[in-house]
Amino acid sequence: MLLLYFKQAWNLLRQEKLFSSIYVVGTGLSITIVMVLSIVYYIKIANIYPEMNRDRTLIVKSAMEKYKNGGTGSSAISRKFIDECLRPQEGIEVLSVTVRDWEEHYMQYTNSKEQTQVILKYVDVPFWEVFSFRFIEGKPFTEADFESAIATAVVSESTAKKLFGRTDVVGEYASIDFRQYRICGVVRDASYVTSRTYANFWIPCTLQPDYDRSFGNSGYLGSLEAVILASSLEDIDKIKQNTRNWVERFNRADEEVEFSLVGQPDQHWESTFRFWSNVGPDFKKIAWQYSLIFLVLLLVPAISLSGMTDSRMERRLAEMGVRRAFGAPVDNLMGQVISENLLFTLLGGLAGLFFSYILILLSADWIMTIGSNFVDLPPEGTKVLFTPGMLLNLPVFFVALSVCFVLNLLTAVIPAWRASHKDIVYSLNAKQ
Amino acid sequence: MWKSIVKQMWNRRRSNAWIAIELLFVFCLTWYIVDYLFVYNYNLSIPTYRDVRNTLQVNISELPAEHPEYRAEESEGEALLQNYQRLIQVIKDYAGVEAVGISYGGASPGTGSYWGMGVFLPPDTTRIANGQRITVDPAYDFFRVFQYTADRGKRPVSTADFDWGIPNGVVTGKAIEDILAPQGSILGKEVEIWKWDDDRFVVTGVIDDIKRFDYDRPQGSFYVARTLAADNVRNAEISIRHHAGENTRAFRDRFKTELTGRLRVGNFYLLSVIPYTTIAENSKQGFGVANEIKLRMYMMIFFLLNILLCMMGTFWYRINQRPNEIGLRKAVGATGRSVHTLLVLEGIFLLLLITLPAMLIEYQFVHTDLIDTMGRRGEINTAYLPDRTAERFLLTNAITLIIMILTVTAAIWLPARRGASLAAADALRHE
Repeated sequence: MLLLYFKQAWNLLRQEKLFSSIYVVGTGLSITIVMVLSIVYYIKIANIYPEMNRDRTLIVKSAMEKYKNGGTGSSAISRKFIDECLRPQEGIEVLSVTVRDWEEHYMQYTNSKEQTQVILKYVDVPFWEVFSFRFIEGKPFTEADFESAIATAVVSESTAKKLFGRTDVVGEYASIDFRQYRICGVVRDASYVTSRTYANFWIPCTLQPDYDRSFGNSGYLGSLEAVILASSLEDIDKIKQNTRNWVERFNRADEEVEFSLVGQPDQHWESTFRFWSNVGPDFKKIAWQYSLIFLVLLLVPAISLSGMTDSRMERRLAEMGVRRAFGAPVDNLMGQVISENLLFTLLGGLAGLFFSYILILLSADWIMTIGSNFVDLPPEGTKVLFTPGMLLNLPVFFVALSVCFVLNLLTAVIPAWRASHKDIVYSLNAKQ
Repeated sequence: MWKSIVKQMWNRRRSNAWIAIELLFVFCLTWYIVDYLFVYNYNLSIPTYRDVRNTLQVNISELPAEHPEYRAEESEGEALLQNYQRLIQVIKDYAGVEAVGISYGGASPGTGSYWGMGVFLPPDTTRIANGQRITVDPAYDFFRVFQYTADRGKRPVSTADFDWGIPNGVVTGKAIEDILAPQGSILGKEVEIWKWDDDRFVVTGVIDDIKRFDYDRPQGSFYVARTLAADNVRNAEISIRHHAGENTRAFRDRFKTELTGRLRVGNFYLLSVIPYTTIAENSKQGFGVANEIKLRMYMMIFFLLNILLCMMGTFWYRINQRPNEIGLRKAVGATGRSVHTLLVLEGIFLLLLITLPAMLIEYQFVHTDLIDTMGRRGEINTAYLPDRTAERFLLTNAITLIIMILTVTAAIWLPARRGASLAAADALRHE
């Protein structure tokens, strides 16, 4: 039956080429915008190389202190806090610390005065377990290198090629800010879209002069961020609860200062909405905002498409009249209209998905910052690359298909209901 | 003619209702974006009395202790200061450099960092003027680098124009004077810092106001002096202005190629040279404003395209359905042009019909304070058009209406042309 409806819809489409194209483009347009947002958030949230364990990742990047005199202080966290609160907890497979770094860094070439700006990431040894980098050559720096703050570095494949013209560079030295780093490993490039891990060089955070400093009344404020890989998905809530309990216990014991993690540890997706160190994201508000945006983005085209479908139905009233006169039940007619419309919507959906890929590739340099209050700008010349896996994958197709169904219902139900409920005599008399 | 249009609209009330709802929605959404862009462009048009074109930030760094050329004694005390001063002299003497300025703590234009301070004229604590505290070295010409002015842009100023010898001397922006002494002058008067242990400054000059970002409103500012010393060279920022005749990028490349070697003084070396226009552009991106503008523009285009397609599709059907009416009109003397106009007017009439309800809906947003005003800090200031709510509301609605009229006209154009080009005899055959 559905096939028959589709056949009929296909004929209609061929009869009214211009109208059908307007309709398909209109549907495509609405699906494009929703799909762009969905793809952006898919890339921000899904497990993507090298952040393959995002679903099990918990992040603590800041903390806040409230003092008795009403003052407050907030910053990243200290090693003392990580050692006392986070590290002893059960359910943690690996815990990694990284240093937030705001400096400009440049790498120097041996035979040229030219310098190139690069991104450095100060990391520890467990970092390489939390994130699944693929080593092309060598391996991460060792625990001994880390503890003794030896200038070693893991380099990205493209940076190695730029610097040496090849990738088998383990044991070579790279000059960054005029300091020599021995290269211990070369990894496959990550894309700038995974900005938590993206870098040209990864070096031990012990090389950052005061990486384990503590300040604030509690001694828990510092310059580190903690990334926790939970042993299993079930452990996530346990870690969150245990951390909350620990902070509560600390605050009961210390009357001078009120320490707060402002709702952290965050799961990876939650952390994409956190921009301030002293105010947490209001997820209720964010959910409302996004629902409203999606509703508007679907409703505006839905009304216009409904209007068009309704006009088309007006033209087919006579056909409806005949079918009803011969006893077709209203449900059948409605089902027919909605199914026919589905073909148009699916075609629009296909066009929409295609448009959204084009739009994302064209605006690669800024599209990933949608929804961010603050944007970390990559150095000049950094390309934001999208791999096929980021764009072509089942979740994205599923979202596209769901949006098509929702949009189809929004656009076809009212016109179908009106057309199939019209008085039979009126319908039969309706002229072309 | 209007009567006939109204009758036609009524006859087609069913499909018109869809278009009207869509128009209503899109009108309100477009207005929301137009209002934001209006305030943004209004702010851009307010003059800022400094100029970042042809200026560059010169960043200097120090070799790490492990470097073979590193000399510990060169990074200590007087040697450090002297090396830094020698380095500035090299920059100053370089061909094409017009002026060199030194400031501290990221106070240069476009960086976005802000150290706030409030002052009052004692004992009057009812008027407090807030502004950005900018620390400069008076031995160099920070004002000339950024072409600061006085008397509303009429008089260019130089750092040397002011007496920095007075202990605690401060040069302020005009906004500070306007708040502290609306009718008079604060020149030579003593101002006290609000909530800061009785610290006082003597006002030694008043210059024009500046904007923190080009999309902001002018703000108050204070310029205080700090001379380069061994303990502050690492916080100092070097800014230069080059001759306007040369392209900034070309100058930067020349500067880097020719000076990299000569700027290896002591343990210092040239790290980077960045145009202030790039810094301002990056801050605009970093603070999310550039993307916000792009996103809103995309959204507006999306909404308008929806209206365009909706009206195009519906009118196409409509014209296909009423060839008899068009034929009859033509038979009694209507020209193709008049039929075309009639159809376009139908669309515009529908738009005018929903304008008032749309404005009523928008007013609810204004009334409940859901509309932000970019650049407004605290109190409403009616000297700025965006703060005069009624005028802004009417103006932004007028702009929206014009955009919508253009869209509607464009949407109906194609179907209307087809309608207008129908031959009377062909059209009448449908009767």
